[in-house]
Amino acid sequence: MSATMTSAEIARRGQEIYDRDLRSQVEDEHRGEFLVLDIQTGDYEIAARDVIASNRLLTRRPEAILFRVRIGSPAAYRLGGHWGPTGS
Amino acid sequence: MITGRVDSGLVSILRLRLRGSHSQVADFEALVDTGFNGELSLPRDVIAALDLPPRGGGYATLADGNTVAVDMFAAWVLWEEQWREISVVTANGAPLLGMQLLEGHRLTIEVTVGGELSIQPLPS
Repeated sequence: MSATMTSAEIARRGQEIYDRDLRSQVEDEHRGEFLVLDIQTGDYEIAARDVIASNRLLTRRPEAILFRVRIGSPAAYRLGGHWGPTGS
Repeated sequence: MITGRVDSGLVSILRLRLRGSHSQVADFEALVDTGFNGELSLPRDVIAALDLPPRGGGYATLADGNTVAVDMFAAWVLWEEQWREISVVTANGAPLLGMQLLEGHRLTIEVTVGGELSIQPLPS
């Protein structure tokens, strides 16, 4: 993983790639699944679990800097608490 | 069957055995959080102590409603007598065990101080 990028930078770049290149292609068919992408190449994998998609992508791209989304949700993870649409 | 307990603060606690890249194992208590839709969250000091391999990042919405960028890591948990690779979200505070790790199981909680908690696979 890059020692020079912060979590905020990785997330910002990853979200940009997803929104620009991938969202419209995957959202209808893959809602609820994880899409994990490499912010350097745009290559990605989709699977029901983060770990599965991440490992598939890392097998192909061992140097990947990973960013994941939960397709159809505003964030990959929710840590308890607030009530609101899950998007899933 | 995986078992845990409800503590004096009415918090559901499960003991987990975790390991990182170097095969040393360590036991932790995790709070069962049905509001968390990931597998496991850990604070930075535990992530460092286990030397978990980094897995990039993502966004997480916290309990206060704020969405923040988080660092992700891989870990291995001893789950139903098998080592299982899971995705770890960095979050301050007690380790949280989430719904994705519980997926496919029935969670039963005796919601009383000293009550039992059990996790059993759903019939397939």
